[in-house]
Amino acid sequence: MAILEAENVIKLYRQYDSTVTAVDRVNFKAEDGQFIAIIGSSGSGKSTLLHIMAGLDKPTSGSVRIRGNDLTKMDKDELSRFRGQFTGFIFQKHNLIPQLTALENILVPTIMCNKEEYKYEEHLKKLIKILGLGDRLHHLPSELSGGQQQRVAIARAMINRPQVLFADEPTGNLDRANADEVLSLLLETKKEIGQTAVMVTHDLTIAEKADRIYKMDNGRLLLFRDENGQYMRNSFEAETDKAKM
Amino acid sequence: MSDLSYRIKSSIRTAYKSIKFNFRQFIPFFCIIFFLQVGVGVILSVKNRSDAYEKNIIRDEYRVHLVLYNLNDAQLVTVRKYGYDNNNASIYRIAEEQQVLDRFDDRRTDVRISLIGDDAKEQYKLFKARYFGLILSYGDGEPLSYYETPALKEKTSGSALFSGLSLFLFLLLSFGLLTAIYTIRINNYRFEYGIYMACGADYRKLIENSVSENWVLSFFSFLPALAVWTAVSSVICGKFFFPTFGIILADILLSSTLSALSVLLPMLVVSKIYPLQHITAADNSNYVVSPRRSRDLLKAGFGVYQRLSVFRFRKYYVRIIACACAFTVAACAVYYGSYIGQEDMSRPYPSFTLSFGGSLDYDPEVSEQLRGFEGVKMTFKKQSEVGGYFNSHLAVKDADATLGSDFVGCPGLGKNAVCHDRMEYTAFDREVLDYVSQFDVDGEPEKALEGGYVVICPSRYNSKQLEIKPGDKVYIAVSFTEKEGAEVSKGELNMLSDERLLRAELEIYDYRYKEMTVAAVINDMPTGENMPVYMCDADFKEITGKEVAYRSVDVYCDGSMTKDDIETLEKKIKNWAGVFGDVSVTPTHLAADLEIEKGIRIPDVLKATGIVLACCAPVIWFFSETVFYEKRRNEAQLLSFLGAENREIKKIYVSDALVNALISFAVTAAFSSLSVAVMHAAANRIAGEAMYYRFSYPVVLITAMSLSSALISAAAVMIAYFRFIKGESGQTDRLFDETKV
Repeated sequence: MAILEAENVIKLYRQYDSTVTAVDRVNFKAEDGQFIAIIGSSGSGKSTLLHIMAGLDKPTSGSVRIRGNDLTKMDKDELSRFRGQFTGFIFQKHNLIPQLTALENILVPTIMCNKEEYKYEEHLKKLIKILGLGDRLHHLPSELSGGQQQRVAIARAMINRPQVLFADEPTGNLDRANADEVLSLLLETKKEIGQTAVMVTHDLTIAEKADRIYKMDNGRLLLFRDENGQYMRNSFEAETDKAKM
Repeated sequence: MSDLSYRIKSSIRTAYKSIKFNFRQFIPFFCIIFFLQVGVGVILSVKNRSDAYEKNIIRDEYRVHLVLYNLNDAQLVTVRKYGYDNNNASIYRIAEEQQVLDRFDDRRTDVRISLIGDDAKEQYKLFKARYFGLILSYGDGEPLSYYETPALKEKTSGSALFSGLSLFLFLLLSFGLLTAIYTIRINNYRFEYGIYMACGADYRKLIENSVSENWVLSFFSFLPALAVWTAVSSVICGKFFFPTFGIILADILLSSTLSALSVLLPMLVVSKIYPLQHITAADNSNYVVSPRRSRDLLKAGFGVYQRLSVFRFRKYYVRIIACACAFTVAACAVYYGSYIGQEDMSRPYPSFTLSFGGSLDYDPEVSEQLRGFEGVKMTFKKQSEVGGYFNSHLAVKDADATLGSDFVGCPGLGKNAVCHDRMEYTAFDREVLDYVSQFDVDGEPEKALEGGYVVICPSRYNSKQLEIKPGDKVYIAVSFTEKEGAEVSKGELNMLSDERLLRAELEIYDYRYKEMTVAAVINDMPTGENMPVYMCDADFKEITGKEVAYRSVDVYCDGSMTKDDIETLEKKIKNWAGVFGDVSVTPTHLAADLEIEKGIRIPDVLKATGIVLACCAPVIWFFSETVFYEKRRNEAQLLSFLGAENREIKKIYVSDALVNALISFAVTAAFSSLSVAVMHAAANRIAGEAMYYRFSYPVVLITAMSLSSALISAAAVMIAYFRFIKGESGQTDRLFDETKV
């Protein structure tokens, strides 16, 4: 069953006198529990698409549904509550709140969704253990390394047990060793919770670990590798394949 | 319940952390909430003290609650007899009886009654229910004349209204200020709100967080505010005054409620924007020039584009100027209110009114005797007719009418004549001349004692309508005839009013005019709807067709007289009036009211409030500019990184400071002056015939405020510059560290 669906999503930006098409008629579907990677060069529109699918931004046209709920039809408050309950987002730049400690940053979604401690306590312990943050919980973000900050960001995205996890180049600012570590932690946590994950990356090595890989090119989304490990030979085949989806 | 307590706890904890970590950014809010608490506290304390003072005055001044006038002997016996209730406990006692003779030489008695018991109002109700009917039944068929003294009323003066208005105004402005500053804060912390929203925060949650922040600040500012407001209240009240528990509670509730309400609108705006816009706006907000403009900037040289800050950040400047000006304007208006209050208290007021009945007039002989009483400073009598009521008007040259006056063309006198019918033709003799002479008069008013001259006050609603001077000619319509061929429909005329009626009349009728010379012009007489035009009795009769016969006169006492002196004089005048017969003497009781007003020291309180409000404007400038330049700090770092020397960056800050100083000085001075002028015009318009307020421009206040606004707005920029210089080393990497907001 498709947990996440995007249909004919278009995102246009006005830049001075011209209009830039960041996302061009994208159709996308993710099944429950799948791990999907979106690759592409800088400026291809992959982050924009991810933001739209996560309900952080509004498409110019088209619709995005999570568990059948159309995000584009929700009012802002409803959408905020929906994000808190059903989605988690890992930003490329961590986006931790500087005045809050690592633990407090992790707990921000629980506070925003008014979850009481007993509802997430066990899960928090598990996350801290998996992500190895036990001894850094009471440090401010400025006192943490890049890898540690990203781990805090992952924990924050997962604390509410979201059904869909969106990750925007979670390893983009990390060196290879740290990137591998963070990725394996992410996958381990995802497996533990059993959620759907959509990750944007420009690193093919990392994308290879996904069930399916899409490629974003000039705003168009093309299937790059399917669940069976079969690579699409050219964009025509990719388009055809996409039409079959 | 546990859910609620958890929510409160977590919100307060988050707010506390946020304030602790960003304390510098929260200083403006701390200060505003502090001001709010102090302001509300001072207003409530002063009100409390005024009420107490008022009660003391009333207790001291009014030993009686009720005065019954002109009782006949039977009524007097009744009042004397029933001084006890059913339980044989006295509910009132007769404090004083004063006997006077009426026009038939019958004995009449004024009785002053003091009600007994803690609750005078309840006792009075009882008194009225039981005895009023009884007293009336022994009367001569005339209604019972009585006066309820202020001792029966809980609040006699305008202190409650004054306090209420002050509080409302203060709360309204504080609300505006908090909202404006909160909006500025939101612009600086959009990243944070973006993350909160990305993590599930809806409007309600955003409000919870913001309100918690304000409440945490309120908690910390409360004790210092309490100390300051106690000190300020003590200074205003003239003795140590510690607020009561009720005042403290009211202060906490009002300031907390207001600080909570002030976040509603800014947070609504935040919640209506997608979180990504908040997050990216914060990322980009430090780089205030777009890549294309940065390129232009490099081409043009540093500083050229930067020096256009006011234009680039025009929305911000409009907001800060509007915000600071609102307080400046309010401060000046309130300060000017103190001047008006002062003027109000210095105006002469009548102590009694004498009314003449039957065939008796207030003639010169009676006038001489009345004015001969020791303590009578002045008398005021008036017989007047308004031109518009009997199809008469006064015409002048159109050049004499001021811009904005509603004079209409007067065809009967040529195309250069204009006229108006809201003219109050008033009989003029030596006694009226004495009254008129107390005002600022140009010319020789005594000339108007003869025919052919008028004394005129060329204003309506205290607003000048005519530019007229002694020696000028005016024309008064004396009589009229229907124009030939004019179809007069009385019904249609009756449908018209004011200006339209006058225009219609001018079309229908031919008028005969009497040329009169202006003997004198009164500059500062209070005026209402009609313009006073004084003329001798003969002219008055010719124009209005009525004989001069005064039926009432107001008696003004010497300002140094005490209430007891006035009461003694009242008795003397009543006995004297008894000789004439049908004359009633009605005391106005204005002396005690004025005494209460003076005791409350409304002008002083207004001045203090004005000064507190005036202080807010520089505070807004300072803090808003500090926050604004803190936000722009990275812009300077970017320029530095791109190769600008400190000298060049300093130029940007200095030019910003100069522009700020100039704008803030000009705007503060302009709007403050405007507010004073508007206040003056409004006060005069509202006061009408009751009072004319002379214009007094608060030069010192406006100059001081304009200068302080200029200095502070410039200083805020330069402080930001020095902070930039101080923190520049080792912080360029901050540009690239996106996690720091």
